[in-house]
Parts: sequence; C-alpha cells; structure tokens
Amino acid sequence: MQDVLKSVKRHGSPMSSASSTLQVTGIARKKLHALRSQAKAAGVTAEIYAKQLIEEGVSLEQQARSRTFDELYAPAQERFRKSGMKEDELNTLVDAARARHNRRRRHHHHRPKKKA
Amino acid sequence: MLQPSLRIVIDTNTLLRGLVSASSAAARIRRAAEQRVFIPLLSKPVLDEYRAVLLDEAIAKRFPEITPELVEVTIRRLRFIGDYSRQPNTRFRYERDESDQRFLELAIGLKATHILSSDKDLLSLPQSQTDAGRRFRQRLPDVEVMEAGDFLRKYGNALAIQ
Repeated sequence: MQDVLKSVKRHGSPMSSASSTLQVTGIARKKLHALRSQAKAAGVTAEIYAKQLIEEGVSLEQQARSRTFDELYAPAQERFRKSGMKEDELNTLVDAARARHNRRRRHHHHRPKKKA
Repeated sequence: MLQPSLRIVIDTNTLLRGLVSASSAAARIRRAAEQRVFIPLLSKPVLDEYRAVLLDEAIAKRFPEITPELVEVTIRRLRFIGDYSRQPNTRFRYERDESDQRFLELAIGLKATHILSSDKDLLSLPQSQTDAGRRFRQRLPDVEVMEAGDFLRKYGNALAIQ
C-alpha cells in the first residue's frame, strides 16, 4: 500500500489528527472499479468505503504487530486442550482442508476464460 | 551458537499445530519465529494455502474461534515476522503431490535452510532415488526436511528455544 500513498495533507492544527486527508494515486482502473462496485453494494460512497477499508486494515495490522499468536489463539488453544484431540487428528483435518483448497484451485485454473 | 540466519519453510500442518496446540514442538518453534530466532519464509501461494486451510469449513467447525478476522491478523503477523516473495521465480515439478510444489519452490526461491513438515513424501524426498529426489538434492543441496520435534532435538539448545 505504501507505494500508492503519495501525499498526506492535514487540515487545521498540526497536532490534530482527526481531520487528516490522504491522497492516493496510482490505483489500477480495475481495482478502482471493484472498489466502487463494492461501495455501491455496501450502500456507501467510494470515499467512505475506502476510509473503512483503510481503518480496518490499520487496525488489523496493529493487532498483527502487537499481539503474539499465543494471545491471539488462546481461546482456540483452550478448546484444543480441553477437547482431548490428538495432533494426528489435526493433521487429518489439515490434509482434508488442503485437498479441498487444491481442488478449488485446479477447478478455478481449468475453468474456461470468458471472452472479452 | 548458531547465528539467527536459519530460513525456514513451514508447512500448513506444522503451522496449524503451532497455533492451536500450545504445548507442541510446533508451537515452540512458532514462538521462536516470533522472537526472531529464525526467519519463516512465505510466498503468496503458501499464504493462500494457509488462509484457505484456516478458513476451511471443517476447521471452523472444530475451532469457531478461528474467525476470518483472526485469519487476516494471522496472515499479517506471519508477514510481519517473515520474509515474503510474492511468487518465487522458480519452478520445481513434483508430480507425487503437486500441492507440495509451492513449498519446494518457496524453499528454492528464498534460499531456505530447512523445511518443517510432517508429510512423509516431503520428509523422504532428500533421500529419494526418484527423479524428484535427485532434482531436490541438486536444487536444495543443503536443505534439511524434518519434523518439528526432530528440529527441536537437533537445534533447540543451540537456538535457545524454550
């Protein structure tokens, strides 16, 4: 994302962060079209939708950088511990999930492309 | 003392064990990665597989705590602690299990020192007398493929992995 963030302008006091404006350039036409479609589907303007995406992305990134996997996965770890499930069973679950993922990929790759 | 320059590819089974089984060898290794003891290697195909497996319906049924938001944070955290190449610029044909190709290509492309896996085919590949085994030794002559527990037994003390 950094490569498309060209400039940051602040309105009002230099200390104020509530009214910052970010100008983003270089978004591919297809991506911009997708953004507008998604915004429309969500019932908001493209600007509001982009703001939501940025805020969500920043929040997820903050979590990813500040919380350990043990903190993030504590509830799942507790469930695993209490379940008595063996690591072999986990392997079986993952193997089946991988197989489904690979089938989907193959299906997607072999699907005939639509003519323009 | 080993330098913190080990570059490790982690397969999806080892990743999930490391996340949900807190007392497993895989979890100890995952914590070491978070403490920057070694560098986990990542590519888009591998992250796509991690994401698909973590979001898989059967996994979600067993672990409802693994929400789409948690999966997104997981992928971002892996990228935060790892080295990422969108698409390693290499091809390694592995017909026995084509889905393992993405891990082998990542290992070649980002110069791995180790591949951690519990997959029997992958584990036996370095010694295999098949064409794939010979190509593996040619392309990855110094790479060890091992299970998480074996990695800890061999390197745990030297790397001070708790």
